[in-house]
Amino acid sequence: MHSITVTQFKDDDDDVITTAETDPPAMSVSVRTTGEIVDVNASVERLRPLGADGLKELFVTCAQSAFAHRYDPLHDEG
Amino acid sequence: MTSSTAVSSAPVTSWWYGQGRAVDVARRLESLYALSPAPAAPAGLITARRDELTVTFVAGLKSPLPHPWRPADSTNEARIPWDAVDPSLEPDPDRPVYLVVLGTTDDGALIGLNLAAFQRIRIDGDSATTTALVSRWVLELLATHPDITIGVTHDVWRGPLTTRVQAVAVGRVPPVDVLVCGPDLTYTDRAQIVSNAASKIMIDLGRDAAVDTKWTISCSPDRLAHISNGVTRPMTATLILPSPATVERCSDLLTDQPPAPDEPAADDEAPLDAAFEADEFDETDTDPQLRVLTPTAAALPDTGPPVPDGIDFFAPSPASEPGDDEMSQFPDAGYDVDDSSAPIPDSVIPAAQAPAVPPVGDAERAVAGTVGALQGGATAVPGGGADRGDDNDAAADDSTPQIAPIWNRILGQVDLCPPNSAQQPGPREKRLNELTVFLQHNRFADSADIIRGVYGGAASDKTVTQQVSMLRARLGAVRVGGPKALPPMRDGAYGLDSAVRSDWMEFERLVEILIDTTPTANLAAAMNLVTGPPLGGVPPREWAWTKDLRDEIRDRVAGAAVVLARRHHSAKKFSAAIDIARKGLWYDNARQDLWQIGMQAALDGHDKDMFKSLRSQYLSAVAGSDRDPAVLDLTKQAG
Repeated sequence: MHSITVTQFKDDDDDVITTAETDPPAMSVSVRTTGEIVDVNASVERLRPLGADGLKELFVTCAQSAFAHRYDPLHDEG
Repeated sequence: MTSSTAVSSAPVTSWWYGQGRAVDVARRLESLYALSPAPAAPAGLITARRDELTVTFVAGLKSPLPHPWRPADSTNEARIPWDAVDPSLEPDPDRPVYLVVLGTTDDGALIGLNLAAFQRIRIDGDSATTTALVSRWVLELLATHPDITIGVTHDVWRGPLTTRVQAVAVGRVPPVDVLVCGPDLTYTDRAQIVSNAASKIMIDLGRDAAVDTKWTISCSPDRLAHISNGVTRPMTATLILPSPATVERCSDLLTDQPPAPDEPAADDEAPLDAAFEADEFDETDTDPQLRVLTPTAAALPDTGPPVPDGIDFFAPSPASEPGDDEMSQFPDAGYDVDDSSAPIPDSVIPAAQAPAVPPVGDAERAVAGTVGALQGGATAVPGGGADRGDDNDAAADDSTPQIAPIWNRILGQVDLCPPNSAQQPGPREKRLNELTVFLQHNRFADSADIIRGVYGGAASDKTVTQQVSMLRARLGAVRVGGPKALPPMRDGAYGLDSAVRSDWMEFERLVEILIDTTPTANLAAAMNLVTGPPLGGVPPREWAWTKDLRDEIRDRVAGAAVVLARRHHSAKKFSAAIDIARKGLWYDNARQDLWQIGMQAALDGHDKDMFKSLRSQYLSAVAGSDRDPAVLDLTKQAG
């Protein structure tokens, strides 16, 4: 069972990067405000026991979490 | 041997001394150490031609040097055009260049030697020729390195003797930088002198080598010389030799006088230079493009300042002369020349390691960087001038070298440990570790460099930006309240603050190019930084860009381990010798000398279990056909 933590930070281009990572750490997905994925980190030894389906599920969940919680500059301005 | 003839040397030497080519060459040789990775072996010989410089390394290059260096005829050589190196490059005090001229070639090139690369060199052949050659080197070294000390036997140098040129005899071996043993001494005498000497550079003119050397210069009475290590093809040069009268007159300049701090040294440049030109060589067939001083112009001014800084190769041009204060600071002993912009904070460097050069004349300050290193290495021999009179090596080794704060480790388990970071390791720790090491060894890398090196070409600029931003947050500040250790991108490139030092960078600061001349305290401190196999936790297929770095680390750490283990063994510290040898074997278990010293120490220390353990490891690690007979014999001793 993994829980997912979402964090944000501002990079050198003043883009807010949203990262969704599992706890315990096994996978993280980082997206820009546009939703573009800029980084995926996967811990092979922790993910292997999950099998292909488990990997897919964890990746999609992380990516969706990051996407859904990505910082929205338009929303902020509104 | 070729049909070399004694060509006119005057145009070449005028070009060399008068037009500052010697400085250019020194800068180029120093720039080699800013390459990443730096060549495994130092540059020993240079062949200077009008359009380019050819550098011959004392060992073959493992890979071609990057642009603007070009490959040459052999793997030992590389070429570079004259205009390809930034002339304002600062000397690296950790990697001194001691350039002396050997002679000219038939096609008008000039051959020079970087004595720092040879450490031990033998000159044999006609004794009048060898003596004349070395006499000129004495003058040349004194002129280019104001704080150098040279010990020389009476058969080579009749005087004057000063604090910088000291007499050497059996039972009287002063602690000098360069030691010269003349041809008239018996083997026994020379061997005794050599065994009592601690000089970094030893030159042996004897017919039977008292000094263990790889390189030999053979001189014949017709002024031809061959330099060879017995492996590579010999290089032939027509020697540039001063007449005894020239040496005698120039040597008068060397008599120590009270320092004249306010005397501009630049005025001295012409006279000695000219003295060589005008008095050694009577040729008049000079190249009109080259400046050759007339004998009149070369007359030595009786009233001139008698300081011996005649040919100051290293004096910067007025435009590039650094501020006085800058030179009186500790010469930064960083990983490469880029570090010079941000010296290690004084707090981490013991005062004893500050350059021993007192702030005298401008000329001396101008060469402080190079000279500081000459005096035993800026970080190597604490004390400097005050300790110089102390014959006891142990005195120099007593002080423990200080280590700068370590930000990341690669001589063992890879670890990122920024001293001022509030951020704990996250899931990207390994990648951030890799980026740190990459930026340490690729100063001012841009996104494309990082993508190519770290990401195998498969990443977007955005990914780099994001991860570099994470790294910036992870590294934190240089000091509490100070600037970021990884400043924002500047001029399209990322550059770590020079305070961000790895254990490997500190190792390299402590260990001299020539490991044998590194003080024991430095070697011990360097080996203390070694905590496990290199880049622990990172298999070679990961971090593929580190291949050359891995090779360099392997060679240097294993090399340092051999030297330190041998010293421990000589001091009967058998257990310490074993520990160090085993550390070295983490890095290179194919090195028979490490197995040998480890097993020998175990035997002499009566540590049977350790001996058996090492023996069985040796027999399983080194294939039968590769085993050194001497080491194999050792394995049978306590069988």
